[in-house]
Amino acid sequence: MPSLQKIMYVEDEPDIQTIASIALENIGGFSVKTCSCGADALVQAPDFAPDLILLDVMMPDMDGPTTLQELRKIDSLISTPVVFITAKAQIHEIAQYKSQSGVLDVITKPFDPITLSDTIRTIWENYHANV
Amino acid sequence: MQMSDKEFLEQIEALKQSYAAHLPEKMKQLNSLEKILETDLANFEVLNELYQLAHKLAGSSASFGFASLSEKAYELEMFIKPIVKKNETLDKNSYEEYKSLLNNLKKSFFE
Repeated sequence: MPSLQKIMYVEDEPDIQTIASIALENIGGFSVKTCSCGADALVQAPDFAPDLILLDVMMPDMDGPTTLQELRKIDSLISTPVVFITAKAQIHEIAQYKSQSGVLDVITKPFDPITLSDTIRTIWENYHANV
Repeated sequence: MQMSDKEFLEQIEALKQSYAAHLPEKMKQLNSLEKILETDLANFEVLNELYQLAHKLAGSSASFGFASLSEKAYELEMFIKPIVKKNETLDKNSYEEYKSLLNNLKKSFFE
């Protein structure tokens, strides 16, 4: 199973960005790069080369699914695993997000920052156990 | 370098306090949007702004320890969402429920 070290988190809300990155770095021991919008992610992702991208669904200008489409146009990010983060969603919406290639799962907001790292690690392990 | 558990918990606590300190601003935003809708019920931009604000509160506040606020914000968000998605605005029929959900949300700031 590939190791999970570098996580890019694309999220427009600064409060959530801060608490999540502190939790992911300090509980999960991950190296985290946060981006405030899809356009920022498109610029930063090739250099950061994340193992996993956490992508907020509802963002102004470019939403999460559109950002994913654009990220997939970059050769080095064509198959980088993605986890969508969204407000409580309906089952059909979650199924729609998960049907996209390379999308491992969907995490719903609000999340508990203390358990976020474990949730992500479990998603990662389950995905790779089934590949 | 990772911080100690104590430092980490202190930082989380500080973030929660900082979030709490900004809640009065969110309440002011709610009040000002509510005021505009009182006199201009068919204002789509303001309703959309209220929808965005409810969405943000629903998604973030429980992560900072405000579970009830998150729930009430979610109820308001889900009420407004189909209206905004259809590019419609509030009307006399939807006004009462909107008002009741908004009042519940405002009360939850003090819970």
